[in-house]
Amino acid sequence: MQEYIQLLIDGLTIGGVYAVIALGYTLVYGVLRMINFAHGELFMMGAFTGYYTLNGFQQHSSLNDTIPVFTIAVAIVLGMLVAVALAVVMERIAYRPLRHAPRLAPLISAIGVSIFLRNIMLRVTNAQGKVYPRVFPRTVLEFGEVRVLYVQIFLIVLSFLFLALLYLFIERTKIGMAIRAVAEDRTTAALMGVNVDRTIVLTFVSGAALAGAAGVVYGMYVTTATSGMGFIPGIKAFTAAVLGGIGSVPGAMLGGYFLGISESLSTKWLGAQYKDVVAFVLLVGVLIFRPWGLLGKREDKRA
Amino acid sequence: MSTLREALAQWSPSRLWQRAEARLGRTSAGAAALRHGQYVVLPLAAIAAGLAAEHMTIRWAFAMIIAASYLMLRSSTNLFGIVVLGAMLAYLPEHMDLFERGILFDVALYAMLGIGLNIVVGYAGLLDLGYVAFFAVGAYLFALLSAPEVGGGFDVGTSFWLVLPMAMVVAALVGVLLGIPVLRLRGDYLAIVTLGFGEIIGIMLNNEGATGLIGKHVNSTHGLTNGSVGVFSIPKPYFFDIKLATPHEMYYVVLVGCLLAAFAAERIRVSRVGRAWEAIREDEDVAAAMGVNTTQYKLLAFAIGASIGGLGGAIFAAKQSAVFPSDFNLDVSVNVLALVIIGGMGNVRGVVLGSLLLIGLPDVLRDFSIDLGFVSLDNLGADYRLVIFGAALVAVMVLRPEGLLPSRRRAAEFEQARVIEAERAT
Amino acid sequence: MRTNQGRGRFRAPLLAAMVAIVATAALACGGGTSSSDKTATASAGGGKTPAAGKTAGATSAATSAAGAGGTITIKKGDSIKIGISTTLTTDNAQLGIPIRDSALLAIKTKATIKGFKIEGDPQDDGCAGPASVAAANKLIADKVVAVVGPMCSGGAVAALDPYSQQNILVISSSATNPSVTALGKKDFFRTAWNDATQGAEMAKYAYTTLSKKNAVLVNDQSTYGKGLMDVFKAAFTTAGGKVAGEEQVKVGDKDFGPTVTKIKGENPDIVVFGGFIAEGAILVRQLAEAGITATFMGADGIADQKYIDQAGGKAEGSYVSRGPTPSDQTEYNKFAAAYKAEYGKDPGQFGEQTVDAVNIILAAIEKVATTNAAGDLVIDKDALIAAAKATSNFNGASGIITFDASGDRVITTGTVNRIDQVKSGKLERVQ
Repeated sequence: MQEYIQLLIDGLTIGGVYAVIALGYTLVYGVLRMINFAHGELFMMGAFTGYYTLNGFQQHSSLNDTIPVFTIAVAIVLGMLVAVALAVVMERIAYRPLRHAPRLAPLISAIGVSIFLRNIMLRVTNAQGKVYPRVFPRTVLEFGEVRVLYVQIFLIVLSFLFLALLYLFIERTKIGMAIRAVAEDRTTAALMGVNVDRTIVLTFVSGAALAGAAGVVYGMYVTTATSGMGFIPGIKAFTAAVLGGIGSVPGAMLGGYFLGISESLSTKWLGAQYKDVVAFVLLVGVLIFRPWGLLGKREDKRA
Repeated sequence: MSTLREALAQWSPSRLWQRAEARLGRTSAGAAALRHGQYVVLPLAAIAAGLAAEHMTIRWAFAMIIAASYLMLRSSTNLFGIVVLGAMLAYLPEHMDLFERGILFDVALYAMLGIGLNIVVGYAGLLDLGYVAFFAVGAYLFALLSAPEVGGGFDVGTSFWLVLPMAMVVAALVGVLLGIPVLRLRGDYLAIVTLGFGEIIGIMLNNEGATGLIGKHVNSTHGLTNGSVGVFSIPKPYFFDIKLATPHEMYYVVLVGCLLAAFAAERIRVSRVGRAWEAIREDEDVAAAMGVNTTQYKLLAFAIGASIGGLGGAIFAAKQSAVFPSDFNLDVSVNVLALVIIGGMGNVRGVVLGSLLLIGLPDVLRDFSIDLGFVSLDNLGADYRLVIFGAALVAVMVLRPEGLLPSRRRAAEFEQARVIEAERAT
Repeated sequence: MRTNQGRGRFRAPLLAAMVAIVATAALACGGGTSSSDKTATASAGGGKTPAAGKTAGATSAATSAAGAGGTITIKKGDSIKIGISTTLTTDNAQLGIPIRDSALLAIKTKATIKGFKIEGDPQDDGCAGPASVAAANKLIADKVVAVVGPMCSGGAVAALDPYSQQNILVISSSATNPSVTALGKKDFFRTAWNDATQGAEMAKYAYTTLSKKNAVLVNDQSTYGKGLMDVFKAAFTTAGGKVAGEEQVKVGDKDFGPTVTKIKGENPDIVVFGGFIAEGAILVRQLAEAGITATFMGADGIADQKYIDQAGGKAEGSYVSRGPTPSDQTEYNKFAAAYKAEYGKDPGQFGEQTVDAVNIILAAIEKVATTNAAGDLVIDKDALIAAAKATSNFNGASGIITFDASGDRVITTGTVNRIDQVKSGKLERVQ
């Protein structure tokens, strides 16, 4: 029993990461109908920013075993800012000129951005994985056989917090309303006086901020940052977004956790080598019965 | 950005060619000279540029040749051109070194894969991100049938030439099997599911557990596919007495495959089936309402595309003489899809150009270096080739969103959509 | 002017397919051969006369069909090129870059042979089949005399085909899987230890010295990692140990939480890992954090300070096998000092094997190269391979090297399977 609780926590941890990245996917997809393959790289850049920030702090003062709240907050904010800046540049250079292009052109452009960022970071770091300084005490909370790291709790809580914030942002603010309007029908939204360009940039910005923050927190959890670290979570997050119903914010969250826990349990039952098989079989299963995903809106139009 | 693009378009080789054509073409003699001349003059010019490149760096020649071939590809065809070019095509690898022949083989192989995927994506409009699955099926089929037991195969001794049609049939069957559950999905949902299938194939090849379920390998602890050790020592095929040992000989095999695939794809495109695909691509619901059996036609596209992938896989295995599960990853699917789109979806010419750029460029860049006297970056190509490659993908898409050589119909659709958007925006 | 949508005619696509390929072909004329010496006929048939190879233009090294295996001629004033096939992209580049640097260092140290400058030619082999073959084709086209590499076993298996067709001497310093020498290529040798040697030695150490009886094996699904664990399993169970579980992790993953939880349930007294640094460091850290007290043991894929650094203090007490190593470390220390002086850091885990591979190649060249009347350097390929094969009691940084018939190293006296333990954040030799 305790082993399964542990597996559940393991699943929630990685699922939380998928979920937060999936939020960015789902937002951008909702508005632009575009798979932003470079989204995972924003996550990676966040992780590197976190490393450089925390490392910088460590050079100047010692990070002892109490949790340096201020330092962590700065790292997260910087991680968000870097990811946001990058997303704005990315949108301006690689995606905006393709707004009216055939549907697959932005996909390839995004793949180009992804390859570019991955390899430029590989060169910047000379292929050396960066090791995070210790910010969270890596002691554990023990409940019987179940052990949880502080940073795991932080990660899980933060992912829920992000969901709540994003949900409020989308549902309760004017910008959120604009984003929903553009997602629904870009032309009509423009006619209604919504600044479409600005709204799209804001969508990228909110997705990027989440990915950047997730990168920093994930970096603190796995304690390393490497240039290739964004790619797999990016693909998984996209899977999660589709699973949950692409375009839906709670759906992305649900998809992320669902995927994380299914990976965790399939590792136990079948071995880690089959976790991706299980994930994709589940995806096909869900889509066959609910082609619009778990919480997606049923669309009569073509996706 | 848009002015830049317009300026570029104004001076693009195709525009220049059109202008020259318009001027010279007023007389019939001039027009005839133009029509035939382009097939002689331009390849010769390209070769001359290549020869001159001995003292330049090879990659600048590459850039020039892309421009030249681009220009040629924009023009229409006649039999005379085909004969001239066919002869040159067969002759030219004679003068390449092994590395360049290797690239040439890869370019031709990926062009063939691109032609196959183009049937699925370009003709039928189904976004498939798991094309590697069919490639892997063909490769492993040949590898397992022909490799000796020490190399992880079964040493059945089936002739390479017999395996080729087998690979096509098996891959097509796999295509249908994968297609049945997923073809009611649309658009990007289909993309992620096919991506999943591509990954699953790789995982299955890598794990004795999964493949062991099918049947324990006689001589190995690694299951049917020999797991991560891969299948190796695959014998080289013979064409009568000629051993197809190097990329040079295998190039002719893939070239013939490429031409047959292109021919078949083109014939199908203009057939009843092709029109059905087009209808499905444009609007699936309308197509269904008009009596097109959409599922059947979509499965057919999947199967035909898959069979070409399987053929490519078998040729790849024979040339490589060793296959590993890690050879069949997402990168292959992404590369093939990207070259189809970069080339200009929905037509074979573009696919070839896309392959030249996407598959050729990263390897050609291996040698890229800059020496300006005051600054010298020796390992620029070796270290940064993928950085440059990524940037090039973005640049091509931004400058030519419809692809380098869109089919006439695609280009028209794109132009129309842009006009409508522009009108709406104002 | 434009043709209509005519049916039945040959149409543009066909043509276009040809044109573009012609275009690539055309470029090659410039890059490859000069018009002045196109004696390429010998190679047109390929395959059966591998050695004859291509004649060369722009680069002035030329081969001719003099010896049965062919010769390499380096014109006066040109340099002797040594190919370095290693991984320079993806996360595996953290292993590959030190290999390149070690090879370049050895080349720089030797500098010249018979008045000819030696030059390294590094190519990215991507740790995979297709990229290793592309690197091989590139190096062959660059007219290298011999090659160090490929880095990974899978890539080596694939790339040995083009190398052996050209009769080129290849020595890998890091491809360890038994399958590589099982191919029976006569031009291939390795200064890396066959995993069959290392895996068995690791099992012996775990069972006998550490008295561990219940192991969980983890591999990274690579040819290397999986192969090593297979050998370990066989040796460990034969000795009387029990394998409680076999897990696989995915290269590139950064969180192995569920795998670790599963291992905990299997309750081993030793966890053995076959794979590289990135995954190994995460695994050892997460095992410690999950409260698993079982001993952790890895192999030469993680035998590096980076493993300890990336594990964030949790690698303490773990064991790392390095493969057979001499008890006498004089040569290694000399190399390590030179490496540190050149690059300001300690060499990577394949560094000493890499410099040995380069030095064996250079020694062989020195032995067989002759100068002809024109002052050019002539190297007979068969003689070069024979000279490398005859390597015996070569006193290198990685120990005394003698090759056996298949191209593997044999264990010589004074060499034991080196095991390090992590103590106070450093690797310290315990065997």
